[in-house]
Amino acid sequence: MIVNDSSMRLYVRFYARIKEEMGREAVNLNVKGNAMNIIDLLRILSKDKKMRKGTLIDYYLQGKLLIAVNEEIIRRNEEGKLILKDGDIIDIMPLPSGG
Amino acid sequence: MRVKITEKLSEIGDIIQEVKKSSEDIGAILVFIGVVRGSSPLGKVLRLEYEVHEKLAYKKLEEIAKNVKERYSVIDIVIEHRKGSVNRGENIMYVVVASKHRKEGFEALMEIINRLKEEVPIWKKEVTEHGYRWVEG
Repeated sequence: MIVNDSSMRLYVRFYARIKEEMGREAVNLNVKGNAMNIIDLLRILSKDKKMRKGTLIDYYLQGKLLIAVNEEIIRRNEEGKLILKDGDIIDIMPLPSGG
Repeated sequence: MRVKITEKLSEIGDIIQEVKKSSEDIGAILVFIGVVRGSSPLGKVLRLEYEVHEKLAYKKLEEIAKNVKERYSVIDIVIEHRKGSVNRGENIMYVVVASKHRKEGFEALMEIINRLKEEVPIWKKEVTEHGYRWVEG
């Protein structure tokens, strides 16, 4: 894959119900620009044809997502502050329901 | 102190013996066993299917166990949780807390269970006679 200087590659993994709704376990994204946060990423993923429009961003706004970047869980309300970088691995998960 | 995510839980008696060995100061051992309930709003439950983000789940479980052990000054903690398919009536998880006195043991046990359900990336799909649903956290 050829990537120009103003693009970055992100690897996004989905879990449980989100995985079922996205119809896949993971996606490689090649996005333009280099100042994207998690909310921007969720907006892009919410346009995915396989998923009902806006679903992921709606889940986020309803507080129904748990998100990790490079296997570190991001605290609620910190999602907009963390700027993603080339090569980041993002996990998009529903809220836990173990036990 | 140890945590484990597994398809097969240890024998509960073995875990009790294990924690007993950790100190002669133990005066109470509290045991919580989570079991697959046979009914749900969807009808008769056949099984629960657990999906786990293992790396994050281990990290979070260890953090909870360490934090609770220090905060309540309990002597030892063992947490085991199933992954994969768990049939109705089967055990889902064990939380075992050993303490000097029962009070701090009960408090520590309750906090571990509550935090496990809220913070550890484990998800369950409830499969019933009439279909399935992902249980909301």
